[in-house]
Amino acid sequence: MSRQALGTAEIDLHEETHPAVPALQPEGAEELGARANPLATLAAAPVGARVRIRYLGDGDMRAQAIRLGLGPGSEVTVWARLPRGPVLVSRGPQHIAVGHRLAGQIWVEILRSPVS
Amino acid sequence: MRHRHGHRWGWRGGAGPAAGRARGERTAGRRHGGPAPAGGHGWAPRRLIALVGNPNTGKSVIFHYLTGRYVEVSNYPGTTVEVSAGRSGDDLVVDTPGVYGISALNDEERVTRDAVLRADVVVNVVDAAHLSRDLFLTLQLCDLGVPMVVCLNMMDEARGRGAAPDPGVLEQVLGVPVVPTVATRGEGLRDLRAVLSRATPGRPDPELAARLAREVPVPVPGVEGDGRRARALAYLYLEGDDLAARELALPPGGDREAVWAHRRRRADQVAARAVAGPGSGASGLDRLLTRPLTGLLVLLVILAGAYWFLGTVVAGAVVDFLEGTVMRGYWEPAVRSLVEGVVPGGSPFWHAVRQLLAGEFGLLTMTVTYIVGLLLPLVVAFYLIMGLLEDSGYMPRVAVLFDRALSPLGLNGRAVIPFMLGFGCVTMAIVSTRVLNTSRERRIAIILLSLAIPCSAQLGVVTGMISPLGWRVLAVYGAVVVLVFALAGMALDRLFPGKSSALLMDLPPLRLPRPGNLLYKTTYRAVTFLREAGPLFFYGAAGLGILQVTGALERVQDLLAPVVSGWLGLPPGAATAFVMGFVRRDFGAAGLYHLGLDPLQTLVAVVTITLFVPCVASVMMIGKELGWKEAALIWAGNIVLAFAVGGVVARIAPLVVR
Repeated sequence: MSRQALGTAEIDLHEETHPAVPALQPEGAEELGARANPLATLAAAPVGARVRIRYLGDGDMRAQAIRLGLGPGSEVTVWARLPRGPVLVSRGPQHIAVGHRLAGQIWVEILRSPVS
Repeated sequence: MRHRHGHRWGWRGGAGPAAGRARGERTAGRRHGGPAPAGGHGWAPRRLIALVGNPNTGKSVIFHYLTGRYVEVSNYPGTTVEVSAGRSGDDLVVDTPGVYGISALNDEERVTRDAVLRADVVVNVVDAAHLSRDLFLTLQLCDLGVPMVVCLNMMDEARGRGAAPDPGVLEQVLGVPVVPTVATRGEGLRDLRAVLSRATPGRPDPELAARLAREVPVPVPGVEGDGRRARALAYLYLEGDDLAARELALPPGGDREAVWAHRRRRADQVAARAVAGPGSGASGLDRLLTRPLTGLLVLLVILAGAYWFLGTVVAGAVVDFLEGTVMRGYWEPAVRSLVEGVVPGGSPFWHAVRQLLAGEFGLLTMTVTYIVGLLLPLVVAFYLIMGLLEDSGYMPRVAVLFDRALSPLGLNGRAVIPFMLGFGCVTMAIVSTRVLNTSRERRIAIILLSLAIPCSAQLGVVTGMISPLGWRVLAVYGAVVVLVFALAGMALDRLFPGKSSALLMDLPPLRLPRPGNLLYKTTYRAVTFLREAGPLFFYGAAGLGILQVTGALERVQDLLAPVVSGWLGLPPGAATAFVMGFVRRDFGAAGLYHLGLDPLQTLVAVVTITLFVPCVASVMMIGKELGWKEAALIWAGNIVLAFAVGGVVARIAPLVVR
């Protein structure tokens, strides 16, 4: 059921939420086709970076994360991180705190690094 | 005590097929097939209006506007979720808990789900400054087909950011009336009330509708009324709602993530169409609050301020006046002479009655004095401070600061809320553990609250006895309690199977608290405290009083004496203080103060009473939340641990501090 397209949507929704996990080292970026952006976990993404969420891991908070706006394809900015603690991201005016363990399970594509 | 409010709802049930339900399932409400009983109000409402929206969108202000002063807060039947209900003209208005969406995943969402399925009209309160986030719930409500109206609140904030949504665009897309408001200023509220009669079901997602038609074998008439519930349940079924599956007699199915991801994208698209303008990033203040060093500094300053306010102003001046001058000065003597006048003196029986009513543990003397003179001012002041921290948006930042520290205990940052509340009143803090995601976390938090968190009454005794002894003793006390807290937490984390849930928290914007809302919150919480915890103190005092007049109390004290003197090194009279601690969390201050303890004994006594079992109200609350067997186990464990640690401190402390 989950593989059926909804109506005339061309996107396979199930595929969107459970993509084949790409080789998650920087050299695996070629496998994503044209994209050459580095990948990292949300826990490791640098503060100030703008990232796109790619993969949500296996936790029980997946659905809630999607609902809040942290699903695959969403773009957020990392604006703070506590050492070994929660990561704070922003999506427009919305600010969300993501616990350390969950942030370690979310893989993101770094679109724009902070100017250091 | 919790369920007595259930019968006064008087709802006209949302019509729908009466569905069988599995026994033992945790229900989110009862079912009415037909007209409601008139209940305690003596009237049957014309319509049921449900206020639904994300947390912090101003639902309570709108609730106030619609219902005026006739407010009733009670627990939704079968849950510990608090819901307000009030009368607005001929209608019954219900305020649901803030949720980001409707599902069967936790109590808050189940309660909201139930309210939405039954309501005649839903007022969806949306934060105009966070449109994209809030529209998820709005679109879900549109899918469910309930007649609705969107209240686009907090327009002032949205305008301030240069990102005010266009209500006209939203109306067009959603197909329901959209009213812009600034509820705190009263703007737009009259329009909102006027538009309620035009409430209509929103436009469902065409793709979901098509999927529904294909996949769910339920007739879906386009007409409202009986078919509405079936249709709403069918949509919920598509999202993997197991309760809906059961009610529709279908095998569990649906794809929650796919549907939610799709709806999330639609919400973003609609928001993009309705709002022209960028959002803002994090403010400087926010960065300050969440960076560990500065954040903790700010927290310490705030805590110091709170401690001064509570300790010096309230516990000092106010309590001295209320408890000392008013209660002990006027009330107790008056009650005693009344009791002596009314109750005859002759036989031992009547003497016992006098004791019960006006003696040491007197129901009319000590208990009333304790509640009105000591607890009430402390609890009110505490709730005022908590309200400030919550309404300003600061609490979630504290949760962020402590998330890492709490994870070895099997908890996440959310647990700071019950723990902080515990310093005011442990009983109410136990109720507040429902903000935690899993029952495992709730259990751990409740045990830790019972073990190591001193309530405000207790803190008064502790600081009163320890401060004269110097900061070193205070440091040892603090270290011991924190150590016990941490070790117990880690042990519990290892003991209970499963994992704690990760922190995933929406941070509301920092804003100035509104005095009116603060007052309302504090008043309602104080009233709830009196109503829920108050009677429990009377039961406890009655129990102690009976023990005393039958002489059993002395026997208990004799039993405890060897432990108290031999192991703890305290005078035998301390046993009385411990027993009194079941009711009087300030440990019959007179009792402890007048024992003439030397510094080491004081330290031991204070550590022991902190770790000792909580007051009778808390014990009963634990029983309600976790069941009586577990409560008894926790109670016993508490006693053993308190005495064990006390004895260890008695032996080790002289080596460390002197």
